[in-house]
Amino acid sequence: MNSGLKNTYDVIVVGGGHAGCEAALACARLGFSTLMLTGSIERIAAMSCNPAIGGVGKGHLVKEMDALGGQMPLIADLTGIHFRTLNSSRGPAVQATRCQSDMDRYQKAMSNVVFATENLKVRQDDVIGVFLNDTQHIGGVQTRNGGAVFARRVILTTGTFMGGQLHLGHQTTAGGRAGEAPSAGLSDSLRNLGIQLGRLKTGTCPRLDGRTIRNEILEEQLPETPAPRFAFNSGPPPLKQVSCRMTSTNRQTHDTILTAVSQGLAPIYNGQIGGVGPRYCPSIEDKVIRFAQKESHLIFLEPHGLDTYEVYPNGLSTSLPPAVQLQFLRTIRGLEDVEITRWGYAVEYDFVIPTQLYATLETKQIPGLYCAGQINGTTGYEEAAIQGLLAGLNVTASLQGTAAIVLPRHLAYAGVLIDDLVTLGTDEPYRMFTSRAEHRLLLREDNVYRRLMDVGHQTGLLEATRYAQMQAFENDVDAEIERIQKARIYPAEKVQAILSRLGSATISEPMPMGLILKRPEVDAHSIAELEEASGGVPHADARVRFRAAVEAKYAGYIERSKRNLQNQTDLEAVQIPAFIFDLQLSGMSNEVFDKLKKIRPRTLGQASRISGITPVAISLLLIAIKKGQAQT
Amino acid sequence: MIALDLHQNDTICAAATPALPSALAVIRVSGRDALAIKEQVFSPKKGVQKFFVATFGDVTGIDEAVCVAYPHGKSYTGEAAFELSVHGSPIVVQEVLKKLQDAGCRMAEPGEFSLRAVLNHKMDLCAAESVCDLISARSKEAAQVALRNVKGGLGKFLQPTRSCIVDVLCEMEARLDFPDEDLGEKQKERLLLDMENAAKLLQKLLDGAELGQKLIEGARVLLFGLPNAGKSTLLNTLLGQERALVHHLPGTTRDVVEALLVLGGIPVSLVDVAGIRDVQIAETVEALGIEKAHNEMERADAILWLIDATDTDAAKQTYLESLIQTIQAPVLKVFTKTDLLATKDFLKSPFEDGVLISAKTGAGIKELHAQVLQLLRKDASGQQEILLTRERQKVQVQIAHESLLLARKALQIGEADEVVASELRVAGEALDKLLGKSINQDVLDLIFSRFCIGK
Repeated sequence: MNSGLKNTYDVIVVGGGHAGCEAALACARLGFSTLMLTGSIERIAAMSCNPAIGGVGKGHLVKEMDALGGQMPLIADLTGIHFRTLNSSRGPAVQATRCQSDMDRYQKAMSNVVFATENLKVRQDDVIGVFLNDTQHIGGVQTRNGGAVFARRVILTTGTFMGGQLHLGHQTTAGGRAGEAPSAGLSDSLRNLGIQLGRLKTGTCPRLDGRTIRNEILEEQLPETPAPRFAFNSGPPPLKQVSCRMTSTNRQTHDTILTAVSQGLAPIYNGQIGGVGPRYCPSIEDKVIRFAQKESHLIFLEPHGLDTYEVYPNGLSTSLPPAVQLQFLRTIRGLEDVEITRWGYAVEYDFVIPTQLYATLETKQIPGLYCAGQINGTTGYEEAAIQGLLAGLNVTASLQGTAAIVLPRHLAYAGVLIDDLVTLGTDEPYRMFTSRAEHRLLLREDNVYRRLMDVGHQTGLLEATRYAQMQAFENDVDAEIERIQKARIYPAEKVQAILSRLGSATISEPMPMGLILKRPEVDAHSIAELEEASGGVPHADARVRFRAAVEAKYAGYIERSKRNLQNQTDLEAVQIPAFIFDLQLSGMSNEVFDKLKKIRPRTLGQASRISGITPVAISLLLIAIKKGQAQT
Repeated sequence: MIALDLHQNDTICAAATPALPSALAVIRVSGRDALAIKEQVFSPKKGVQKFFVATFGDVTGIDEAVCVAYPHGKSYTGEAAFELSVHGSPIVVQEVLKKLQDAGCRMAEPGEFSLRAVLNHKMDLCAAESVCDLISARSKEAAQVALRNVKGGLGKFLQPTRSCIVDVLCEMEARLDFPDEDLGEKQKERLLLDMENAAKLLQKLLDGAELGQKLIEGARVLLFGLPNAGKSTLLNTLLGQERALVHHLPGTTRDVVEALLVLGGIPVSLVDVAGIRDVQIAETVEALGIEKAHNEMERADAILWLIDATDTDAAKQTYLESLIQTIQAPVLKVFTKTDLLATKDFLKSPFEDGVLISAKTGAGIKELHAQVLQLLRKDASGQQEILLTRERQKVQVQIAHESLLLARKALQIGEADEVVASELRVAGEALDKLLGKSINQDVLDLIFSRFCIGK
């Protein structure tokens, strides 16, 4: 070997964000020599927007990563400073874990893991293009300073950096994030190879100097105790837990914004920004205009970390000019004297239209080239990270020659996410919602290990000891479910008192616990209380209690959901052979067939979810498939 | 849905017209060997230019027929094909089909010609399905219903129900996915009412489904009664022709005799079976017929219980009475042979709950028509614009209806919102199977247009 820089790897991961970290860690841990190329080593795993991880739909994704052997849940638990269960008063399928992170500690902890991982090298350089080898397979990447680097697989996780443009009032600068240069050249390189790019935008909030906020007059949002956790067996949070504050905009805030917009100062309204932004996370100027009847919008003030006084005012994303930002902020209760530490801005960027990807996240045009994260049109750390993880798993699967890891929609939110992206594409930054999952009752945080630990184990990414612990936990749950069915609640005085308090009918004779649990007003927590009052001994582990109670309480609905799923999986079971797309199916309109050819669905189920694909088109496909089988 | 048969290389044949005596009957043959088979079985007559008119069959011939041949690509199915117009005797048709099968044809499965047309890109599936409905429409009313459905009437009818489901889902989902937003509490009472109204619309559709299916598929009406009660006579009267063998000896009708007629827009198969006495006392051959009669009773949509008006001895009807009680179908008592009754007998009480007829004089036949129609349409009193005509449509609407009611109940008793949403979603998806839309996208669109989701 010569003494020069090693420039051949199994895998190159372009980008060191949340997708890049998971992808690189997965590949390296499974034994493949991996190079992470990042524009800025100091910014590996940076939380560039809000200081939070999880939430409804997103918390589900983080827990799924835990069962699959991902890193994000571990780091989030390590560096969280405020944990909560959202929707705790609602049913189990929409209860979700969320935490405020110490942004700085999160980033450092994750980069420490990246640097400590065997087989994983990190290099700071800009990737200006990708190239093919002589078999038209991906060959490697071209870097600005280090020339060509060769690899058998390349995963692009460039986030908002491709063709990135920042908007702050009338100012427009090239950049992927405030203070960082965009990845130039990569967009053109991909276009030249036949990959179609679209354009999206997203915004971020101004950051505030916490010392100038009048916290004492604002409503406090306390962290939950004991803290809910993302990762299995995490134990209590090691960091100090802090509160958030709540405030809201008012008429004066709205007037200030409207005046600025009418003066042509808002880039999203004066034609300066062309990309499409998310409808669920609109800028404050968007909200004020589109929902004019609303007098006030809630603002959550979230601390950036323990060692910093910066605060993130969640709900105030904006690209208005700096002067206007300060002006409207100071109309808000508690922010009368606030100082801004960083301005809010909007970023526009290129994304790979994700219908060009297989469900493995490999591009259809270029074998061996994978894309994961925001480059695929998603938004959010969690959405990015789980794509990175799955891209990493699929890259290793293809290098090993083992089966691809494609999670079905009824098994994981990750499956819903990727299926939606590659089947429907997206015309706004895609965020996970639980309502996107048609089998929501089956996709709960509480049953995540049951759903996915075997996949984690089979890929080899989930550590054997953790897998064994998860298995033991699930066995306990099974035993507890059985116990619940047999146990009885007796009409003791204390029992009646609890029932009355819950607004539930008292009992006149001993009743099976499972039956009482089915009452809508009785939940997993109160049933333990009732059992104790009745002289019984509830299971010692609260997680086992909760999980078993959920299974028992919702058994009927879960069963119905499964039956409904059964009816749908018929279409999922029919694989579409590739030759179908070369046929002339003229019974179908050209538009529909072109769509099918572009997306090349793997199964009839996937085909049926493509927008504009009618039941008639599905029937025609089925006929064509059967006809083809009959001929061969 | 058209049956999928994948033996595409077979040449298929079938009668394209019903097996009833008529002036002409058409037989269709399609497939790779169609034209070779035509050469084999059909001898053209000299001097006729446009169509082939010739003896069909061997030297003695089965019939004189007109033959229209289509080369590959030009026929209804897109395959090589020919059509024979023969004389409309069921016997002739049967013989011709037999001859064709001897020559290498296979009898076509139902819908197979249309399937081949779809496979060969002669027709899209939607058209094929409507064609099927229109073909099987055996009355003007049925054809109208089929046409209305083809033109999207069903979609329009279901739109308010679907909107309601999307609307209620939006209210639930917004609060589930965005708990930190100040969206206010859901308006439970309004949602409950909306769901109830949506369910009512579906119920209306289901109520009419039986009629819709009868319009397309036809109904079976069974003539039932003691031997010699006049069943075959009535059948012949209704048809206006000598269809069944009529004989005064009890037990003449040993086989099932079936005849088609249109009654108030509904194609009706009138079924005449062996007169029923007690099986034990009937002779063996007749007993077989009686077993068939029992089967027919299970299949019937309505039963006409014929009772000889001149012999109203209730004891004789006891066995029949016990049979009737095991059957779901509605029953109408028909007192026959009233021409043999003296006027005063008409006032006798046994005749109160039935129709009095005389096949001989035609008295009461009109009334019988009306009563039978009423039996068949009992669950669709008003004339409805949109009717479900196919079992698969009905199944989806049933799923939607059931889920909607379950969702409503779950909401009412305070079950978790995602349970309510889950059932609503099932309802929405079932309707989408009929209408071909995506409930997910619609719900999200509505959430973002209605609520300000800010974080």
